[in-house]
Amino acid sequence: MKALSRRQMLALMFVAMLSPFLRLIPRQVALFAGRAAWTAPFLAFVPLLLLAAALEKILKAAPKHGLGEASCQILGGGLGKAVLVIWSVWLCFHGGFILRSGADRFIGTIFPDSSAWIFVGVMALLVLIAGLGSVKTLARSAEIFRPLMVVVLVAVLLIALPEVHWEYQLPVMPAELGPSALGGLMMADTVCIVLVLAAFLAGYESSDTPRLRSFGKFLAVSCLLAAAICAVVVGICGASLTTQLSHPFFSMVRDLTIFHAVQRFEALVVGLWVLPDFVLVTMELLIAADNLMLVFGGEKIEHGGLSWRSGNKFIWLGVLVAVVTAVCIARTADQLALWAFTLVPVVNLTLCFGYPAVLFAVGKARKRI
Amino acid sequence: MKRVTAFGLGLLLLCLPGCANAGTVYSNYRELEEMELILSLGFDSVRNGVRLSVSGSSSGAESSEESSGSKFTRLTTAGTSITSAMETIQDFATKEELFYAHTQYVILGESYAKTNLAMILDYLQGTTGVRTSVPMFVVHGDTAEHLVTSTGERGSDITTTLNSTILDSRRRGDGYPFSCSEVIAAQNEHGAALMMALKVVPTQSVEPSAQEDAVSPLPDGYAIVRDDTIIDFIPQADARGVNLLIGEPGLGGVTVTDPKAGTVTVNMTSCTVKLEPVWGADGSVTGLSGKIRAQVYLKEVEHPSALDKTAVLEAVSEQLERWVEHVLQKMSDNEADFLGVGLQMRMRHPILWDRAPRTWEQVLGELTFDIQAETTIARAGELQR
Repeated sequence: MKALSRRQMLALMFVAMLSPFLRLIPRQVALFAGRAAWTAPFLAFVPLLLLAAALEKILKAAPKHGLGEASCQILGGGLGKAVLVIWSVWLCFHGGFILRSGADRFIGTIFPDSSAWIFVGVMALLVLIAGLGSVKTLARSAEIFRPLMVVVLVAVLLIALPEVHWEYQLPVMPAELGPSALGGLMMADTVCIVLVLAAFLAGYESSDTPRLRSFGKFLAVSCLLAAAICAVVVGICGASLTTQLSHPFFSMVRDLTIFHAVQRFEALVVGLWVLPDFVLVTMELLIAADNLMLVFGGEKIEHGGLSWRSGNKFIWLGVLVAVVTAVCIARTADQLALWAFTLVPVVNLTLCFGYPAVLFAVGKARKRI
Repeated sequence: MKRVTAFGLGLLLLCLPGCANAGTVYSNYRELEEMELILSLGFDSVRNGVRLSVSGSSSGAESSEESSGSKFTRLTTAGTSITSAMETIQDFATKEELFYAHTQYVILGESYAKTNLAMILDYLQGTTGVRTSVPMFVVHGDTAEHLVTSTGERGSDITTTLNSTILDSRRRGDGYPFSCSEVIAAQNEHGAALMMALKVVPTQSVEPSAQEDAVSPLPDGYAIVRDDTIIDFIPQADARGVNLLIGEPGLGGVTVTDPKAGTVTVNMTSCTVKLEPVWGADGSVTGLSGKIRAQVYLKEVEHPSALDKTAVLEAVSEQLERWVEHVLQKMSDNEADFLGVGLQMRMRHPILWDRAPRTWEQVLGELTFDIQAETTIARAGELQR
């Protein structure tokens, strides 16, 4: 099995993070934090750093392995495997939700006359093919996608900067930090999942650099990027309008003009949103399959094409569950909004912060870490 | 197995071309020659609905046969809603589709803006077809239909004319085209907004050879918007006060009358306005004091031999003060902070501002203003006077 470098792991995390990032930020952050939205990501930094530190400690229970093996070591065989099955179910469900919400976003912004199912189907097929391949290949893809995403995001923010009304969000008074902390929960929701996914994939990684140092830098950059997006969007639209728009970042990009010559390039930007969705869903299904292989046995056949033998059947199963979820999760826009902005973030936060906390406590109690 | 995979991926290419009318990702694909690019939209009130007027340009083989320039399309129709009017107007279009994605201007008739502004703002914000960064105008004392359908001749239309009008207006410093999103955000954030106003003028008044029914749009100040309706207008005579306050002073001329030198015109090279709150005994804001610093150069003097630069500069300063004070007085009289002055003051004095016993909205109607201008000559120019 070829090992991932730290650089590749961070690329994977960054691109995957952009999927919930561009869905929730800045609208959901502004919903809680209002005009102080740009401070919310900074308030999320410390809890996320603590999560990263806790996961690093937990991984010491199973050196050179991932969170799956560490869970079994700490919780014991039976309970550990049961928890891994729960995680696998959640990751497949979450993957299906991403398929559906990504398709919905596409047709809501760019292709209003199209159907969501073609996007769900094509993405599911791409994820299946990528999932049957190696994690290393996915990481290499993320290494290519990352600079593309960064250039586009930074360019958009720089072009939009002259339009910002600073009085719409400055100054931030102490009384506003409370609601801003709630907005920080949304920021934490977007990043915590990739920290946990990275912990599950820790067994694939080979690096001498301490994880916490690298992940600390990663979190700092993520918080800075989120703050910049919040500052620019809220500075242009105002906090009130930002919360009214379904996709405020997209609306802002739609209104940009470069030197009065180039306009309406939002389709290119939205097209790039497909890449984070692809990486995140593939990561989740790979990890779900790994967990199920730990529980039920089997080995991944990486160069077997579309084979469903041995461990590969869990990839097929994961994609099937994801597609069924995508189709059945919601029939109306309100139902999808409920999942997107309430249920999924709550469950995600609970699992991604609660589970490591429980593992840490049990691991300490049983002296496994 | 790799061949099967490659074949499967190849089948996906069938989703890309626009062969099927539905169910493909290319449902939005259109040939450029089949589209009519709509560049200006006009909205007016009619009984039980809205009148939509559009002006666009099309290019293609047919237009090169008819004239040397692009062909302009001007259409107008009524409907019970904006969507139904757009659908109806499509029936009269010569091209396959009227394409609104590159709309440059939205023009509202005055009566429509007074009664249906909320609807048009909501529509523009909710549709992906039109950008909300397009400038929005209100036609003072006339209809958008008249302006959109009668402006322009010999290779121009309302869009090309407005391009020129706005450029000139911004250069002079007596107009600024606020966009739809700016109007929406301003109302949300500080309760009121401005929209640039236009008036309809017969083109023959400046070009006698023009067609009899041709009209031209001229800047006519600003409309004050609050609660999604127009509550007042800032006249064109005071429009430069708005531009000074928003930091878009332009480079236009300022003409004053001096008792000795006669009519004197100076051109501005730069101008900054800084406002500060005046605090009352109880800690509430009682007024605004302002400092205007302008740099000018002499352009035109009626009686050069009698020129007294100090007196002229004083007269220019008084004119700048009047413009700014008139705009601020409009703000106070209408209790509408259309420029976000309160937010800007709060940004500079957040603690005092939040502690004030009376809020900005409560004191807005009672404010007094003390604006002082200082004008200096930036450069001598070609003539040493």
